[in-house]
Amino acid sequence: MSLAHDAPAAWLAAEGAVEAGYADLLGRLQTRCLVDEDWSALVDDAVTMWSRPGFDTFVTVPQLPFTPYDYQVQAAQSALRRMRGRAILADEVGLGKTIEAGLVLAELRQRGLADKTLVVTPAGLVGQWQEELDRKFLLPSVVPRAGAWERSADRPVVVASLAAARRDPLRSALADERWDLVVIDEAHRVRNPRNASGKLARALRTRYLLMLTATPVENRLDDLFELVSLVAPGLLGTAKEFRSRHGGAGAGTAAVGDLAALQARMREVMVRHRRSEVSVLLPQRLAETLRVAPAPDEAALYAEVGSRIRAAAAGAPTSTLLALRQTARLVGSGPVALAPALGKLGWADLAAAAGSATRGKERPLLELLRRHACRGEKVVVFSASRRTVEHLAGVIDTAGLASVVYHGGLSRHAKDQAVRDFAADAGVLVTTEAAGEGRNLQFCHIMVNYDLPWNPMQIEQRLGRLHRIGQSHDVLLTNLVTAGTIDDHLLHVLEAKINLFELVVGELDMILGRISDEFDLESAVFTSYVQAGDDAEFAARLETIGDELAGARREYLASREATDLLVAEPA
Amino acid sequence: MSADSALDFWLRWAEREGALYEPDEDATLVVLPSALQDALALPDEVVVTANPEVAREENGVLLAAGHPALDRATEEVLRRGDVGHDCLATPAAAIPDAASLLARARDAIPVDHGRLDLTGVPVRERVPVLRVGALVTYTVGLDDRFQERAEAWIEVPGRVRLPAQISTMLAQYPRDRGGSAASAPEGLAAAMAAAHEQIAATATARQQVLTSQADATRADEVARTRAYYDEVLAGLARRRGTATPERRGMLDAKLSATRAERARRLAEIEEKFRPTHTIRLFRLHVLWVPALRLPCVVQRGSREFPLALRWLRPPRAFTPVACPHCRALESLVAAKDRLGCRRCLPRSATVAG
Repeated sequence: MSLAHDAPAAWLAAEGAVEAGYADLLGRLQTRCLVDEDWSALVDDAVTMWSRPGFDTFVTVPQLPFTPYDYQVQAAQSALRRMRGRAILADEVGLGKTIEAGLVLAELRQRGLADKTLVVTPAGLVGQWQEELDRKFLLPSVVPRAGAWERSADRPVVVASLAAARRDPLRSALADERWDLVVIDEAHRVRNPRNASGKLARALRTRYLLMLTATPVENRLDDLFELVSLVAPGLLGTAKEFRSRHGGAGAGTAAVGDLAALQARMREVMVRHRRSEVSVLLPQRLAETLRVAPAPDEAALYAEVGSRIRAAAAGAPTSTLLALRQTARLVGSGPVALAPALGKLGWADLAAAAGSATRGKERPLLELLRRHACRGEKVVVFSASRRTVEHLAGVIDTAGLASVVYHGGLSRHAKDQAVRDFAADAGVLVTTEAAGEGRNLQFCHIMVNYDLPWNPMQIEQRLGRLHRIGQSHDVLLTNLVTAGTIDDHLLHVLEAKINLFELVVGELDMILGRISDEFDLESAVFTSYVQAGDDAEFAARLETIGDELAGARREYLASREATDLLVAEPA
Repeated sequence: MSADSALDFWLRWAEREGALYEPDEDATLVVLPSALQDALALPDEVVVTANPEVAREENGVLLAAGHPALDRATEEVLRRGDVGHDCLATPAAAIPDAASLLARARDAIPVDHGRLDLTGVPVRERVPVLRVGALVTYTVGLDDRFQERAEAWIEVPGRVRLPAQISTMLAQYPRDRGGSAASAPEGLAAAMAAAHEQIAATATARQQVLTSQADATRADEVARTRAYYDEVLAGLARRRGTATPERRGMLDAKLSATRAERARRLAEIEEKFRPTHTIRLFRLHVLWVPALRLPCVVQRGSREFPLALRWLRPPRAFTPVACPHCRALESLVAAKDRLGCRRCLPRSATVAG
């Protein structure tokens, strides 16, 4: 007989009973209270919210505002169950490694296992991570400023750029924290234990670790060893054992010793899906460029603006350079957007000239829109300038084509209405970059870049609004560009060197990241422009940048093949 | 639970705590009493929503899983628990006559070497049944960390566990909401102990299986982690042996950092595999179930052993009878000098017949 049966009063004071909370509830039961049906239902709900089954059931998936693909859920389950929360997520680009990491994060968080999470990502992806976590996983995040961040349960995830995180004071602050989960995006950048990024990754303390990279191995086997040793030290044996078994220190991936054993080990720590294996097939992207010859007055305006920018940039402080760069970018958008910027720089004569200049791209745009309208096709027209967007909407309406305007200044209801109108009646949506963040625009498959962002990731994001899961048509992109402008030169490089507009989603990032961690094409273009004596020299400088991009693309493709080899299933 | 139902839960809880709310199309305006404002660190008026876009654009609070206000509500509801008395409605069906009840009792409760007989008329009563609900959290490594809901139903006077088919029916049977609460029945603490024993035994058995499954994995992970760091440390020590004095300092620092990293990693592995389970009570109900008490004896020759049986009217079933000595739910045997299960009787007594 147990103590419980012999002496229930003593049992109530025993550790197990106290921990479970019997005495407290028993005391209340003595007060003759009746069961409150509504409260009982509330308790049942609380129990459901608090209960977490094993990882074979994902409790967060039904709560998400989107439905992840099966392979994404499987990847997250593998990371949590088989790999015990320390894994390399190495899907090919564009298959949603961020989603997989988000699933792991949301699941751990819901189970009370990830109160403190750090995401380290290239600077250009910080905003995208925040948006994905917020919109898709309902997880607001915070970005550290000046080496510190607001510690708030409202913002459970810290998203830090790799560039900031690897330098003090942020580096020390992150290393001092005891994290529950660390996610390192584009993790191939932290492979090298001797550089600052590699040292940061090795200094972070965390129970669960996710490394996201489509290319965990470049052309040296040691790359793989370093990355795996971060996630699961010893899984590949010691460095000496690894080298003697699979290849020397500098051995390439082409001649791996005991490949089958290595592949088996990799399956214990790495998840990789290839586009060919999953049923997510995006339609093609088809790009064309309409080069518009400017009218003489327009050409003269742009030439004079270019000369003044080059002259003003010499020795100018950073704030002036930023204003000049913004003005140079607006040339691509046309006189309507350019005029106010010129006025702000104090170039009233040019502002006045812009106010009356020919707007050469409007006519070909209208012709293009009419052709699509005749075929019943809807078109999204992008411009970086809100002024241009509003002006174009007027031009399009005057031409008898129905359009709607969308930009960040609209209220949420106005944005909803704009998308509804576009889906229902209007043939054209004229919009800034704000369009479609989280909006479903896949019912349209034709887009026009009225101007060209100099940051290729922005081009990618514009394309991504239409070229995404759910799109059933090939996406047709038309770039409208005025001959002889910076946009014209840049477009040539992006098309000729890396075939930018027809890359698979995500590949661009892989290419840009290979040039350097902090490579900024927009800045490189402007610097080349103002430092060049004339347009011919500018074109030559851009060509050099283009060659770098092309080299990075070749490296990326080689790396992808090497990775595929190492995670292949046995034949 | 969906995001919307989580928000609905929170609103219902807040309303009970004195908040007022006004749902709009895609957000809800909530006016919080001062106690809740302090507890949740929210202003007196707050717009809450389960839609992140609405939260962002209307500067509202996104009440989704993991939000502290939601966690707080859940924690508070569970802490307070669900306690009270409840009466099951009296069935309209006629009560079986005594002879028929006795026949059913003889079928349901066989007694070796003995015969059940009534010693009086069946007496109407309400039998207190204790319903205990608990959450059990198991942790054995990461993939085996989860919570399960556990329930135990105990007939208080006999301290016996009710089988699932009876408890399921009792859970669903209509309540008599008009009655007033009774006082706590006698033997309640003992019944609670029996319920806890049942829940704890199940949890322990489950825990043992989980632990044995994880042991090999843990040993493997520890071994390979040790081997890895031993090799790294040996390499550093070798390099230090031939290093110049200036480099030696740097290698010393690296040795020290690597040792710390090894200790940290090994501790993380141990922590990851540490098996635990905790039981947390969230429900304690006493259900007063319409029943008939049958005063009986078990007869063996001239010897009689008194036995009280209870016929629960809603499920139309007898409560199980436990061994009067060890409380086990085993078949009873009428021996020469006492009634009990086979384990509690002297072997000769059961065999002698």
